[in-house]
Amino acid sequence: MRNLLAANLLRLRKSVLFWGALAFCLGVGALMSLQLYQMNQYEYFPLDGAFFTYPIFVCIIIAVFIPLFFGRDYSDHTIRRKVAAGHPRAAIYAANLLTGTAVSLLLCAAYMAVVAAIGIPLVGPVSMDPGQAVLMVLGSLAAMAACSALSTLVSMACTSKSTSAVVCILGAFLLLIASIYLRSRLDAPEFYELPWGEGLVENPQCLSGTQRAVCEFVYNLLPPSQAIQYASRQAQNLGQMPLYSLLVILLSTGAGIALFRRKDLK
Amino acid sequence: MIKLLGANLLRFRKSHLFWGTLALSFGFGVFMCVIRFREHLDYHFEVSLNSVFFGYAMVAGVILAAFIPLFFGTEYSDGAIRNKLIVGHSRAAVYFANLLTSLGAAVSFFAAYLLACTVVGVPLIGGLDLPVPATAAALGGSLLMAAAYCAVFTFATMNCSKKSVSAVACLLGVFALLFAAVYLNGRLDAPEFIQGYEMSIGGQVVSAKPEPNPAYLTGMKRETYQFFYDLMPTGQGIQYSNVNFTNPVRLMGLAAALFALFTGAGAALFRRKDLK
Amino acid sequence: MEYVLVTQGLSKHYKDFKALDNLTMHVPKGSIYGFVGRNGAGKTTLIRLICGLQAPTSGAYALYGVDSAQRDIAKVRRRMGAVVETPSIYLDLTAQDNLKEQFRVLGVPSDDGIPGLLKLVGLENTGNKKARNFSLGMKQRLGIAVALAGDPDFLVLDEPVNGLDPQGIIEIRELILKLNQERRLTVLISSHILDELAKLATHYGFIDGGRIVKELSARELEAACRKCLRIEVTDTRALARVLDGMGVEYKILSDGQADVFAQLNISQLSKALDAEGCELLSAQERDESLESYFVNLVGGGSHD
Repeated sequence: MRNLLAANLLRLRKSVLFWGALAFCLGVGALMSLQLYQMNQYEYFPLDGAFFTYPIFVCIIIAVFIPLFFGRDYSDHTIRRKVAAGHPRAAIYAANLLTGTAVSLLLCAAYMAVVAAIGIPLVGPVSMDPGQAVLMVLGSLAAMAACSALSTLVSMACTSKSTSAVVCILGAFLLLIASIYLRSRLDAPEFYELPWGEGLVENPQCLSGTQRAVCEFVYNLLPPSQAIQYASRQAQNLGQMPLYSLLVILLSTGAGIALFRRKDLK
Repeated sequence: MIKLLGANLLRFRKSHLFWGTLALSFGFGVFMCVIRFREHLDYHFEVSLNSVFFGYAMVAGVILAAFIPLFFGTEYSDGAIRNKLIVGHSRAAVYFANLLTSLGAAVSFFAAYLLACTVVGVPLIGGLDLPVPATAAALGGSLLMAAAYCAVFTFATMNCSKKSVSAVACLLGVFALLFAAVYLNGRLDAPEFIQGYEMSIGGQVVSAKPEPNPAYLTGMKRETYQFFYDLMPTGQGIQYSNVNFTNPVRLMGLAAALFALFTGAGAALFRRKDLK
Repeated sequence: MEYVLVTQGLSKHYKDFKALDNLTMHVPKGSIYGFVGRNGAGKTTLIRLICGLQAPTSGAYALYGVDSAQRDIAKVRRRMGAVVETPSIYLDLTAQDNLKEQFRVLGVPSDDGIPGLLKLVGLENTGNKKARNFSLGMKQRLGIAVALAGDPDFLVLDEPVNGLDPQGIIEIRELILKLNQERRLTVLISSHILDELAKLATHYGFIDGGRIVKELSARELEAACRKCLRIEVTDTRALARVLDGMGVEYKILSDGQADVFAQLNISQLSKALDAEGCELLSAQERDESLESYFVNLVGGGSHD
């Protein structure tokens, strides 16, 4: 698998897509820091507002990058070379998963580095408790790894580069929108006030019991949901969420390898 | 060009993508009606078909951004576009045939959604109670908006020989415009005044005077925001889906202008394109 | 003589690369024109230009006497069929559906001709199999069938036997010959398999560096190809000394082989070689092949 990883690394070095994504993260990081600095002229906003924003857009970048980068192996038929050279299917899959995950983590790190480098001198450090900040960072990186795992599953299962790109991007955005909806349902108050001061009424939109439990589970499980929670600094289950990410990684990787093993390659 | 349209129609009949998207559009219509019906049951409010009938306008862009590059991009990936040019069809004929076909697809998807609203929505939540002019304006405007989308996506698909790149560009572009439209809508909807505090002192309610809202847009800034909100097909989509538009003629004019601009530019670029 | 295709000073530049450089060629009506050139010589570029896929940087070409810049060229193209580089087929459709699709493009009113066309290229039994599941050879045949869909007078084939098995190569050759002889179809074929081309072509165009180096008919080529005597010896250095002494033109091919371009007396040669301590192992009369003619024409050198 080391050879496969080395081959992927070589491709990455020459990939316009990779360098473009990296440049984008660096650019957005710089922009967010400067915007925060400008806002600080009127009122104090700590660096947290810029520092933890990356999960949302890295989630989308991964959904674009992974199918386009690894889908090339199918469209150019170069995946045959790896199989013909004797590499097991599981090794090829794992190498791609590791490479995709490394890229997503690198993009996050690049963003954080730029925000720290520009933001800290201008606005000051992150105001959050350091321990919590570390948990937030680690949890968000785990969420991005889970996003990579899902995108890798789609890219390796589907031989059409364009179809897997469309599925990943639509999936990422739809899950983000679904997460916002889930948040609003979870945040719905238990009672709402009738007009003209006629008293309080139970809010049917408020979730309770099993429905609430399921909703919360899904909300914490989905990587884009986690991305929103980390980006808005409203993640409450900092201990649990990385475990959910791990679950997503294991399930999607297991399914992905199983599918890829059985796949007839042309 | 009629021959090219016939050929494209034949491809539709055999295309899983087309039928799948048609089914999805119908399914979305059913979903929207059921959601509204549930709200009616939960909140006991009176709901009508008004709130869902034009809901498709909000998602039309996303559906077309996925469909058009995947369907027409195949002509590049499979090389079949060459068959049309080799036998003498002009570049313009090929471009316009694909554009018209994509318009046909857009209308089909819209019709499937409306069918679902009619078949499922009317029995569940009642009919439309909009004035006829408003209904006509929303319908006509939505179709023109869809035409503008088709023009933009056909421009991207016909001038980029890589199906995956055009698909990604169209999808990312439409989502970016959607978020931009939501932002602009939020800014334009900001109230002019913020209600001050209200408190009760010894049984007497005391309230402060409403304060001017600093986020409220005025003057040139408002006009600029409104212009871009009306120009963007995503902005138009939000307005049509909520049946909340003040100047339908302006919206339709802008959509028509977008259509003409992207079609003209797209056909001109495609004419000069070197094909492999 | 009537020409189906005439190009006049045709050039095509891509940024700083000249793919075609002032290319002039003539494809006679009713001929099978073999287009011969190295990789990167400009064969596919020329085919793309004459098929209307790309516009020339300068120069012009005419199909059936109609200049490419004229409006009537669209009508003339209707008489053309082409397979350019890779077969242009919808991978998600069956062979039959691909042909139906092309019939629609051409405006052919009835699909009745499809079974005959499929039989002609040997794809009559593909049924509901989608083109993406075809072998390379089957895709190639389907590409040719699509090119024949409009019953063309002029067929352009870019490496048509690429990926075909030996049987397939023979079948395509016979198909081209049949179409040429029975339907008077003019065919322009570019190919690397020169032996195969030699069995088909009635005319040749040799291209190198984006230019036509030579155009000639098969008869003229036959006359131009030199006869030689291929000699096998134990010591080519000794052979070289003897042949230099005889004043004849020769070419050393390898350690033990040489071609001699002259009429030689074998007994005298054997005697002279014996005196040098060299044995004459064999001597065979040969005609210069298309391959060697081509190599001599464009020179050996880099293979890109």
